[in-house]
Amino acid sequence: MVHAPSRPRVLSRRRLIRAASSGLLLAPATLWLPRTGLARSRDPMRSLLCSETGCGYRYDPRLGDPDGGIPPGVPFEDLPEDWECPECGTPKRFW
Amino acid sequence: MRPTCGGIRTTRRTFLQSTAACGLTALLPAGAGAAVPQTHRVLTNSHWGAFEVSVEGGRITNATPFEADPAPTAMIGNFPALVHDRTRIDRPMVRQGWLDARDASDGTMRGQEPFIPVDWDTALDLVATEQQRVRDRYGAEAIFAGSYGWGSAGRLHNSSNLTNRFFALTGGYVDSVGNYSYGAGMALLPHILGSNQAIGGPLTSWSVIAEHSDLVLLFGGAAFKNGQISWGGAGAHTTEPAMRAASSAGVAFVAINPVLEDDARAVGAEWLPIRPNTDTALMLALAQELVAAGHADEAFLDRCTVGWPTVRDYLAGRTDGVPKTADWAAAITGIRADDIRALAERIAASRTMIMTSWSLQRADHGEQPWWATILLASVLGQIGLPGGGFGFSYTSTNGVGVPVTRHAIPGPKRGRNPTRRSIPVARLADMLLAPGAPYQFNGEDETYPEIRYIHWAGGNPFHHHQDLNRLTRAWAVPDTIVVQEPWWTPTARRADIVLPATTTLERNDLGASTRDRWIIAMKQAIAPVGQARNDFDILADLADRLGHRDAFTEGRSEMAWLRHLWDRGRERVAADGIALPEFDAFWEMGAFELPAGDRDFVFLGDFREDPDGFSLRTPSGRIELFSETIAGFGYDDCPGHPVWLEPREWLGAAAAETPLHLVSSHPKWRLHSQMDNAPLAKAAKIAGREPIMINPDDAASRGIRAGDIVEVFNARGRMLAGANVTDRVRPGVVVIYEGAWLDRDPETGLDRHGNPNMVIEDRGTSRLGQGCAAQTCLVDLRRYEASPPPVTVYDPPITA
Repeated sequence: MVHAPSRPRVLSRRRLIRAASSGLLLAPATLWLPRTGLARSRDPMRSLLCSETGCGYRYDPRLGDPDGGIPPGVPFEDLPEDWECPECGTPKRFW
Repeated sequence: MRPTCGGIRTTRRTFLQSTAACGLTALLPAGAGAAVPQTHRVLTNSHWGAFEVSVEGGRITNATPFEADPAPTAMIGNFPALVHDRTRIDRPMVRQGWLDARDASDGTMRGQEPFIPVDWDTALDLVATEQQRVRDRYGAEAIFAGSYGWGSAGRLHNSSNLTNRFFALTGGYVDSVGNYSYGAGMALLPHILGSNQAIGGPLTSWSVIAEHSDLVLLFGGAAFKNGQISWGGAGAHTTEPAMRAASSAGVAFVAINPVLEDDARAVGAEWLPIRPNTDTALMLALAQELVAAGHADEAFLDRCTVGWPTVRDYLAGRTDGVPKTADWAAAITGIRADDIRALAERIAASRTMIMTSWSLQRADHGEQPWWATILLASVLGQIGLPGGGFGFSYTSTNGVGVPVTRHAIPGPKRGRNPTRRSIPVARLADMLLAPGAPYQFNGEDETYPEIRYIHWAGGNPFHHHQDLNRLTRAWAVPDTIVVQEPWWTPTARRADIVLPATTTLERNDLGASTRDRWIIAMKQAIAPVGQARNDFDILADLADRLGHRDAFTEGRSEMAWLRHLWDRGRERVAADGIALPEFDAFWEMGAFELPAGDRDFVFLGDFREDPDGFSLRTPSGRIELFSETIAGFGYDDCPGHPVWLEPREWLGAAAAETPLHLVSSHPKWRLHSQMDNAPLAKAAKIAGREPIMINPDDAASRGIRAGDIVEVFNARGRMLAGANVTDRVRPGVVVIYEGAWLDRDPETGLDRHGNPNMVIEDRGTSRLGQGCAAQTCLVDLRRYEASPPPVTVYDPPITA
């Protein structure tokens, strides 16, 4: 049985959604985020966001791009030169 | 006490919906084949941000911003009128001449003939048959389906992506690469920084800027208006609050821009009203003055860059006899030499962040201001320090410089295009007008294909392409043009076959952007308007006719796709140690907030600290102030290091017939041309025309008064606009927002409404970038003395 909260609406929704999300966390997101999107050699498993701001795809070497024939474990630098974003088609050279 | 339902902690929304039937909605999630309620409230997401709509009797009656959004845009209020506007396309339509003569019809009649309504089966049969004919007779490279445009937010119903997917599966097509926003920069930066991550981010956080920066240089100005927009939607608008917070924290702003925007005033920015297209000269002069005053950070330049000795010689004039001094730049930029020298001293004495807008690279030689930004920041030597360095997107779109999540919910895979053929996106008319012609692009030599069939979903090239008279000629060339679109846009009106598409509010989707922490369940609010269908379903039925339905749909319905995309996103996010709820639980929650990313991010901080260990993906591993690769291309319009090259049109060489520079900015009350047919944009018109900002001196010398209708013209074209006389634009410059729906009189060629692309040249930035160069344009204007013709573009076209 649930009850509608008595707090003002704005506060209650934000608080509740935040509570719902944070309660489901296993670990802070900052554990793994790379320090920069540019550097290459220290972290071959770093992920890269598609450079097309209208896309949102992220290449994650730990997951690879299986549909594109890229198995897990391939660093971005080692992708074939003709590899392209599987969602928007932005070629590797423009990432 | 936290409310729970089925063990999932939930939101107030959820238990308002589920107090009577906890668990029922989890069993029957909205959209799973159930009829759409006639009266309810629904949360959704859009490029304008998340919002909630009220639906009464099957119509959108109200729209209010998402309550967690700290700075929502007023444009949300447009939705009730927009979704039900009379410009909606209610049925499939075919141009009369095309229906009579098919591919032998006269393409010059596009946009001028009546449309004939047909039923969906007829329309789809016509489209599928025509595609097959073109493919069989001319091959896949006769089909152009770049289908560039914003369409709707949402990971599934991304009309451009789905169109690419369809054509990749059905035999291939010619695609486009890059974008109109920052196409030149996108070609340039990988050579200089080894990556385009300097555009999409992450960039140095605003919180770091607020704490550490003394000064922010805004090349291209400040623009809260641009921060209203996020591709993929946003639960939170961050640009304006972040800039205001930085200002409150004591950060000083200098806006270098021909126009003083409201936003620059809001953060107390000093205004340097520069001549358009001359920012590169100012940047070079600032760099040279830093060198001359002994402020160049030679240690940084030595450790972290290559090519500095060559560029230093160029700045000093040792290679061309022209020292790039403040006095030199003053004559070019219109900014006093003393002010330039003072600014050089100030940036050297301050922790300075340099923000350069996307708009500056949308100009002739648009690669140069971005490359010169990196040069200036390198000479200053603050790259990688908290609050120093540079960035390109802070003022151009929402969600930049905030702790990003980087957590992606995927969309459907588009698949590999079998032809592997594409053109630079802004070279559309070149391709159509000159099949077989050679062109150069970023070191490659290519030729244009011969296009017989165009398919465009959710985009409006008759808004965003330059020189619309030229595009009108080019658009007449193909045999057939098919457009999927919710509204009678200028492009839909110029199609042969028009397939009415649903809007975001008529379908289910997932709203998620990597620059926003919210994932929004975009639930269908109303039944499709008229006979509109989802782009996905239109393409699935076309694929069916061509024998590819299963490959296109993968056997999934809309809701099955959303569940699939969610599950794949959930798997990705789990790899980062974050657990998303199961799909049903999320769908019931309506919104999910991801944890914040790194608040203290400093762009290139690790590279500065250890340039060998964190080398860049450039050939040298360093920032390339001189690029052997680019120099090797041999392009005189983009040589091996940043240079000042005179634009083909600018105030320094203005002919008497065109003494004014036209700047066309991102609009305040639209997203490009989206929402031009909505209340806010219409209310901002002057005498029914798009407003144009004119300096009082320029207005007075032409006898123009505020509120007059003016004619803007040059040798390329003519358009009407409404005079906004203001001293917030420098003399010699006129400013118009892009996006007014083209209302071109086919008899006279006059655009009655005010689309600046009527007068802008259609030519690439350079052979390197081939980007849109819309900011390079000289015009004149005069009071329009004739009886003003009515604007007709908000009336649906004639149907027979």
